Amino acid sequence: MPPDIYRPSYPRIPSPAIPAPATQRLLPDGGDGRPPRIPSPPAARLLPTAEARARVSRRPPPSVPVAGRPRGSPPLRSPRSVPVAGRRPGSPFAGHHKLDCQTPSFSRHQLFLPASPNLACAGASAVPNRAMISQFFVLSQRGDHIVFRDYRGEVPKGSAEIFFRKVKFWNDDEAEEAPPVFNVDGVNYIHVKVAGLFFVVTTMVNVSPSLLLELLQRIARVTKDYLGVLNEDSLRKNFILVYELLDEVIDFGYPQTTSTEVLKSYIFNEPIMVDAGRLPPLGPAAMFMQGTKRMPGTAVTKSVVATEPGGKKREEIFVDIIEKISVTFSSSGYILTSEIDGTIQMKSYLSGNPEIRLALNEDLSIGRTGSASHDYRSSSGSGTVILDDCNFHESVHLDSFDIDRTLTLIPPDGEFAVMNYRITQEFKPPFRVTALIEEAGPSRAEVLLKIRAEFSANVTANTITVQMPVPSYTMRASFELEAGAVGQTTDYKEGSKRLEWNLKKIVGGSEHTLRAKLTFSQESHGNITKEAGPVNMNFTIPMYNASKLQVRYLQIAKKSKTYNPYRWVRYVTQANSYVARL
Amino acid sequence: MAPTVPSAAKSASPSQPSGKSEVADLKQQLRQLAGSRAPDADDQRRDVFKRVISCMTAGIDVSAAFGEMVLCSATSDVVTKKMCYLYVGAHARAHPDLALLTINFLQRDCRDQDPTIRGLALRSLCSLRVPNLVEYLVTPLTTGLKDPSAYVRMIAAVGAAKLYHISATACIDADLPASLKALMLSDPDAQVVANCLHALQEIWTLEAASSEAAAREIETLYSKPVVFYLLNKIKEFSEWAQCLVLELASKFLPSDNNEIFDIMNLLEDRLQHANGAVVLATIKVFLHLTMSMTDVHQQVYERIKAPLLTLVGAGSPEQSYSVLCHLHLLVMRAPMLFSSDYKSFYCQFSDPSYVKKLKLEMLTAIANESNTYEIVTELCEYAGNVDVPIARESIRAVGKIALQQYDVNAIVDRLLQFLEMDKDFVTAETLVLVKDLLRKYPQWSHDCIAVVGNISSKNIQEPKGKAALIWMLGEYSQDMLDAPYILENLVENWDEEHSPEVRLHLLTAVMKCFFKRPPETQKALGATLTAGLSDTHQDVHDRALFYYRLLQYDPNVAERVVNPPKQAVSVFADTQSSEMKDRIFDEFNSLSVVYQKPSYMFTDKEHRGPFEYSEDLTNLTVGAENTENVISAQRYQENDNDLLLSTSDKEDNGTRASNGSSTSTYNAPSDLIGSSLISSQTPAETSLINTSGPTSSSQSSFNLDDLLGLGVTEAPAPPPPVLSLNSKPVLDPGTFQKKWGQLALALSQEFTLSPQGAASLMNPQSLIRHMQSNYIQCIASGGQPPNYKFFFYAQKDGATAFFLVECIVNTASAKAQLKIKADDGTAAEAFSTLFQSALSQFGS
Repeated sequence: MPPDIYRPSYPRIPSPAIPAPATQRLLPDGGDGRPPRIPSPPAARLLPTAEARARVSRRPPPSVPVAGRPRGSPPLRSPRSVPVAGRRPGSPFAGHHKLDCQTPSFSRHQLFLPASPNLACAGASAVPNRAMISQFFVLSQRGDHIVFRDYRGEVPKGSAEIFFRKVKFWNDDEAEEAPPVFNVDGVNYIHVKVAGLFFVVTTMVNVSPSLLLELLQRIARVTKDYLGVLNEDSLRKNFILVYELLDEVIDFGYPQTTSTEVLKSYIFNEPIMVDAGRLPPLGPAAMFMQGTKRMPGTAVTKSVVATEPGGKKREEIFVDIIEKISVTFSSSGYILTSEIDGTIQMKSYLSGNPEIRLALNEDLSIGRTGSASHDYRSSSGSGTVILDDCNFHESVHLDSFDIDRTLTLIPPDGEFAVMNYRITQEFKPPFRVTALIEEAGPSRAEVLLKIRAEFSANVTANTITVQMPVPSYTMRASFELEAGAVGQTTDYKEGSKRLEWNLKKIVGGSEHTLRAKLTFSQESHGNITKEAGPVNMNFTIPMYNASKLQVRYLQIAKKSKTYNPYRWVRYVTQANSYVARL
Repeated sequence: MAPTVPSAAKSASPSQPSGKSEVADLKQQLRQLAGSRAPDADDQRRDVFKRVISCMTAGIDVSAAFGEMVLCSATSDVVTKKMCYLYVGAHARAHPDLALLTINFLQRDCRDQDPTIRGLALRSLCSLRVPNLVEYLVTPLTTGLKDPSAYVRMIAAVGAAKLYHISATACIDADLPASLKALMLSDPDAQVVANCLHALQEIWTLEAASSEAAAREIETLYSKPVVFYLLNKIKEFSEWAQCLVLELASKFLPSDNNEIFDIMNLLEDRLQHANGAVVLATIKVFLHLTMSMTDVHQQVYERIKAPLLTLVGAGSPEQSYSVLCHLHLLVMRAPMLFSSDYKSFYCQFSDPSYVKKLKLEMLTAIANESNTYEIVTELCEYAGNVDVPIARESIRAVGKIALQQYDVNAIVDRLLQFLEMDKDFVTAETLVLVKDLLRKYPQWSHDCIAVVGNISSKNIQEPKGKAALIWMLGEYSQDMLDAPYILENLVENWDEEHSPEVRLHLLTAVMKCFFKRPPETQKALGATLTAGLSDTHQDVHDRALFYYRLLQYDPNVAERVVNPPKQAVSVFADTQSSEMKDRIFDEFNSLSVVYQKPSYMFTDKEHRGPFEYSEDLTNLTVGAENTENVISAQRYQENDNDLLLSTSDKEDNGTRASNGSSTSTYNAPSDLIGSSLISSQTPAETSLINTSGPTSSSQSSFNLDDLLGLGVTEAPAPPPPVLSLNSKPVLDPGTFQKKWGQLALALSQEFTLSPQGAASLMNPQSLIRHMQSNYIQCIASGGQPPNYKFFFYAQKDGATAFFLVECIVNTASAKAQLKIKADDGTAAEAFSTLFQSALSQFGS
C-alpha cells in the first residue's frame, strides 16, 4: 500500500450549479431567518495528513515560557506573566471544517428519492436503529437491584434476574466470561462492570452497541462525579440522587445529556458522602493513593458538586497521564510487540470555567504509515514521541495543536479524557523479566524468576504481581525468596496451576529473584517449557511514563490577579499485558 | 430472587426495605403525613418517600400505597416531588382511577413559573401511560412545544412520542408531528432538535404501516435539506445526538459525488472523537456513502483503521469489545487492507476469551505471504495456553491458515510439532487439521504420515481426533506399515468405542485398507462388518450393511465405490454466505455486528431462531464427517427392527467376508437385502458408480438412501406439469439461512405488479397474508415504502424440497425483483410461474 493512499481531501468532481429551490416550505433557514444562499464549493478541507502535521511540528518553540518539568514537584503553577485570558478569539475552530451546504437547494423530485437497493432496502436494516433503551439498572455483585428504571415498559418482568443468571453462569464448563452484549429471548442486554457493579441497559431494537456501552460508562462517571466515590455503598446511600440523574440522562429511552455541568441545574439532591478512607480504592485515580504520599489522595474522591465543610470549594485541577503498556518478550528476551495506550485524563474543580491550555512535547508527531508501523527504528533513542494515532474530547480545540502542540479547552466539570493516544513506537520497558524452568529429576522441576527494574531509583513501582502457569500435573511448589526480602508473598494456586509472586514495591534499579521447586504427580514427558508459562506481570508505576509524553505546561486563564488555582500533573504507567515467554 | 437487600442492617441506611409489613407501615406513615402541617413534615415526607422508592427498586410491590402517595403529593420540595413523580409514573397504569388524582397537581405544575418544574411535570404527565387521561395531555404538550425554555421544549418533544404510544390518534389529531417538524427545523437548541427527530422517527415509522403520508414523511427526513441542515449543526449536538444525526445521514442518498465529498469533508474530524459511538456512526456514513466508489471506499478503510485501533486500546474492555467486533467485520471484508496491522490483533494476557476468539479469527483472515510466518509463530504460542478453549482455537487457526496458503511447508512442520507436545486436546485438534490438510494437499502425505504413524490411538480420547486418525489410517494404509494391525486392534475394542462417528470411520477405514492390503485386513474386515451390522447406531449399521452388499455384489465395484483415487478438495465450504455478510455490513454500527447475525434473526419475534454464539466459522468439516445430524436421529425409530434382527447372526459370521462370496452365511433380513432387491438395483448402481464423483462425501449420501429403500436410482423426473405446494411447510430461520447460503441461484426475474397490487402494498403484512393463502410462507420481511423486501419459502407437496424466494418490491415502480433458489432446481421454473401468478393476483 503506498503510504499516501489517503489524499488530503476526498477528490471532488466538478458539477453544474444546483437548481434553485423549488419549494420553500421545508427549507430550514438556519434559525436566523436569512434567505437561502447558493452554496459555494468548498476548498480542500480535510485535516492535514500525518506527514503534513509532522512537518509543521518542527516550528520553533512558542515564546510562552515553559514551566519546568511537571514531573518535578507538583503542584505546578504556571508563571503569572502569561496572558491567557486575552487569547480567546471567539471560537476559531468552529466553522473551520464547515460545509457549504448551509442552505441546501433541492428540486422537488429529490425529496422522494427511492431508497437504493444497496442500503436502505436491505430487509430489516431499513428500520432505523435508534437508541431506544427499555430499562436501565444497576445490580450489585450478588444480584441485588440498587437502581432500577424502566423507561418504556416493553421488556417482560424479571429481566434483571434473567440478566444476572446469564452473566453468572455464562459458560460454566469453560469458565468463560459473558460478553458485554447478549440476547435472551429477544431482549438485548448490554452491560459494563464498574467498581464491581453491573450497569445494564436492555433494549428490544437493533441499537448501536457502542453507543450504549459508552453511555453506560458515562452514566457511571457522572455518578462518580456527583458522589465522589463510586461503589455499592455510595450508590445505595444516594439512590434517590441516581434516580434524579437518570431522569435527566435518559428520557423515554433516548439519551439526553451526560454532561455533569448541564445536569447540575436539574439535580436537587445533595450527595451523601461515604467515607472514602475506609474503602478499597477503585479506578485509575486510586493508584495515586498508594505508595506515594505526594498525591492528595482524598481530592480525587471529592464530589464535583458538593461543597466542602469549609463552605468554599478548593480551586484545583488534576491532569493525569495514564499509560497502559503491553509488552511481549520472546524466550530469548527480545521484545516481540509493544504498545502504549495512553489517556490524558482531566478532572476540574475550577469555578467559572476558565480556558485551559495544555502543552505537550513540541516534537510530538502523529501518524505512522501502516507499513512502517512495527519495525523498530533505532531513532527511538532521539526522544521524539511518535503517536500512531490519537483522539480528543469534544471540548478540545486543536487550532494551535498543529503549530505548537498545545490543546486549548474549557474543561467541563467532572472527569473526562482530554485525549487518548496509541503508540507502537519502541520504548524502554520498565522491567526485564527472565523466567527459567528446568527439570530436576524425574518428577521435579526448578523455576527461576528474575525481575530487574530498569527505571531511575527515585521512582517506585507498587502492587506488583507475577504469575506463571506451571505444568498441569504439578502437585506442590515450594518457594525460596531472596535473602532479606520484604513485602513479598508467594503462592501456588492449585486450581489454576499457577505460581504467584506478589511484591509490595520495587525501587528503580533493583533486582529481585524467586526460586521455586515443583513436584509433579507424574514424570514429565517431552518439553517442559512448552507446558509452562508464559509469565505475566502486573504493576503500577506512579510518576513514570513509558512514552516520554510530557505536559510541558498547564495554563489557566486568569480571572483576577489573585486567582491561582492548584494544578496537579501526574503520571502513571500500568501493565496491561506484560508477558515473557519461556 | 429475593432482593431484600441483605446488607440492610449493616449499611444502616434509613432507606432499606425489610418486607411486606414495610408497605403497610409506609402507608400508615404517609396517611399521618398527608394533612400534617408540622414544621418538619417536609423532611419526614422526603424520608418516607425515599423508603417507598427503595422498596420499589428492590422489587417489592408498593402499588398498594398509591392513594397515600397521591395524598402526600402536594409539596413544594422538588426532591420529594421528583420521587412522587417517579412513583406515580411506575404505578399509574395499574391504578388509572387514582392516577386521575395526580392530574391536577401535574397540570398546575405545568404552568409553574420555574421552567424546571414545568419540564418535570410535563415529563411525568406524559409518563403516566393511562389511556383515559389522554385528553389532559394534549394541551400541556402543545404549549410545551412552544415554551420559552428549551428544557421544557425538549421534554415536550419526547412527550409527543409518549403520547403517540398511549393514543396514536390523539397525537395525530393534535397535529403534533407537524409541530415537531417545524421545531426540528427551526429550534435554536440542539437537544430540542434531536428530540424532535427522535420523536418524528418513532411516530412516522409506526404510522407508516397504515399511512402512506407518514411513509412519505419518513422519506423527507432522509432528504437533502433536512440531512444537510442537521449535519451543518453537528457540532452543536451532544455526542449522543450526533450519533442520531449520523445514523440519519448514513441513510441519505446523495445525488452526486460532490455531495458525498462535502459530507465526508465535513465529518472528517468526527473520526477523531473520543467517543467510540460517534466514530462508528461516522464510519458508517463514510462506508455507505462510498459504496459505489471503489477507490474512495478503499481510502476510507485506510483512514478508519487508526482511529478504530485507538478506540480498541482506549476505554473499558466492554467498549473495546464493541469496536473490535466492528473491526472484525471490516477485516473479514477486506483482509488485505489489514495485513500489515497483524500485530494489533495479537491476543493480550488480559483479554477475555470472547475478545481472543475475535482476534484469532482476524489473524486467520489477514494471514498472507508476507506475514504468515509471524502470525503462525504467534498462534503456536497460544497453543500451549492454559486457557484450553483458546488453545484449541489457535490450533484450528493455524490449520485454517495452512488451508488458505500456497506455501504450507512451514506450517505443516508447525502442525506436526503440535503432535509432539503430547497434550491430549492438542493432539486431537491437530489430527483433525492434518486430515483436512491432506484432503486439500495430498502431496504432504509423506511427511505427515511419518509423524502420524507414531501416534498411539490409545492416547487419543476425543472422538474427532480419533476419527481423523482412523481416516488417515484407512486412506494411507499403503504408507503406514502397521495400519492393518492398528485398525484390527481398534476393531477388537469396537464395543468400547462410544462415538458412532469413530465407528463409522473405522468401518470405512477398514474397508479401504482391505482393498489396499487384502491379506492382512481380511480378518479385520470380517470382524468389522459383523460388529457394524449389529451396531445399535443406525448409520453405522446401515453403512456396514451397504458395504456388505457391495462386496457381495462385486468386490471390484466395491473397490471403485469405496476406494477411488481421491481428488483434492479445493475449497471447503464457507459457513456464512456472502449475502449474509453483506446484510450485516448494511447494519454496521448495530447489534448485528456483535452477534454476527442480521437483525431479522434476533429482533423479529416471530422468526427468531434459537440464539447462541455460533462457532460455525471454525468448523472446517463438511459432508461425510457430519454424521451426527438431525435426520439420522429421526430415522432411528424406523430402523429399530433391522438392528434387532441382525444381532442374532453375529456368531456365524466369522468367515463370511471372503472376496465376492456369493454363498454368504449371513442370514440377512430378507425384506431388506433380498436378492431381488439387489438385482433390481443393479443397473442403477452401475450407473451410479460410473457417474459418482470421486469425492469422499458421495458415498455417505447414497448409502443412507439406498439402505432406507428410498428410490436412489429414480432418475430425476421431468418437472411435473403442475406443481402443488405443501399447505403447511415448516422451515426455521436458521435452516432457511443455511439453505439460502448454500443453494445456487436457480432463477432471477423481474416482475411487474398490477397497479392495484402495488397500491395495496401499504405494509408488508398485506402481501404476506396474500402469499400465505397461496401456500407461500414468509420468513422475514422489512423495508419502508416504497421498497419492501421479503423472504418467502414454499415446499413441494409430498416432497422435502424447498423453494426459497427473495422478493424486492418497489411500489412506486410496481416492479418486483425475484430471486429463486430451490433444493430441486428442475422445479424452479414451475415454481416461479406459480409464484408470479400468486403475486399477480395480489390486490385484485
